Amino acid sequence: MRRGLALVEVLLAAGLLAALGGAVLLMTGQSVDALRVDRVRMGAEELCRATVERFGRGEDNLQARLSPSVEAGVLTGENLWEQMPEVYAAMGFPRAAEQARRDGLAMKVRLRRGAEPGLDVLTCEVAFRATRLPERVVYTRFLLHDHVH
Amino acid sequence: MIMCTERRGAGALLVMVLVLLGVLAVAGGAASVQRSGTGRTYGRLVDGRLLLDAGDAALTEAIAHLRRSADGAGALPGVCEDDWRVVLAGAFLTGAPRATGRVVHPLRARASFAAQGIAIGDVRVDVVVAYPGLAAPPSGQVALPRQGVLELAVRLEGDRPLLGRSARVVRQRWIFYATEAPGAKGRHLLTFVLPPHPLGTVIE
Repeated sequence: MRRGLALVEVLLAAGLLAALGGAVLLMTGQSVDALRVDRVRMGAEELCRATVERFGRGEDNLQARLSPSVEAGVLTGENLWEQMPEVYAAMGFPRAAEQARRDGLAMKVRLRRGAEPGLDVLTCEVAFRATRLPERVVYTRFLLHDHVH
Repeated sequence: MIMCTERRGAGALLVMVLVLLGVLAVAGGAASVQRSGTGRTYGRLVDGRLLLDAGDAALTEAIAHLRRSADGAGALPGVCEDDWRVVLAGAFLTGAPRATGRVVHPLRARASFAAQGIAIGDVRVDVVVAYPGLAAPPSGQVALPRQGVLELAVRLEGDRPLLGRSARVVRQRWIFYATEAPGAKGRHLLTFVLPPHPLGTVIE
């Protein structure tokens, strides 16, 4: 009668357990990575959306923060949180600069004045790198002038 | 007895392999579900917002064209075939008893959102309410502004895989109308005001 497991069986069991542990660690890593990708994407989307919501009204004086571009009637700006950190902190992004450095965020804002008579077009684009491929989110808002009469 | 032990060992190994495969399947499935779930949630969020923005842009552009037309530019070829000064004056005369269903083409919004896979249709504009009474006020007086409601609707379609459906965005806006005293040539001055803020938005 044989007691216990043979050496081959022990080695096989150990190998299986190691493979199982490795697979579980791999899956856990993938889950953590999926959460990170999701966090980066959602962070970039939130920043882009909040910018359009905050400055996407005729009452806002966003043009004061933007610079004229070579294209006539178009004003542009980049990474607005650097120019007005207090505004972005009030918008819920007190660590926007840190977030941008960590996640490789780059914002471009473009305001086309008088795209149509009485109408401006505001576009905010945030590029980011959540995976190997660069991604971007773009939101556009049409702004009606308040006073035309 | 030895054969029995070997069978038990083989059975134990088989059970371990099955457990291993089961755990791998569960872990892999969970990771896959998590990854696709978060990606899909993000895609739906962005697409939903794009859809809303496209509808908002089309209706806002239509209002800009209506304002321009009603301010005296008349019909705008290729964009707005109706003279909205005439249309609104008629609506206030008759009280807009039925929908007119006039159309404005939001060309700029269409071009802006085409790159993002959203097709914007024409904007249908109806004067749903207009309080009648176009009589000119006595000389030297200004009539109280009258008001009505415009309804603008646009249909959007998306070719993005996560959108995969169409939506109709409907929005209502106040419109104010005033008749001023006759001018030097006896012509009444008409003023139509379309405030920039909508009454509300419905997405169907």
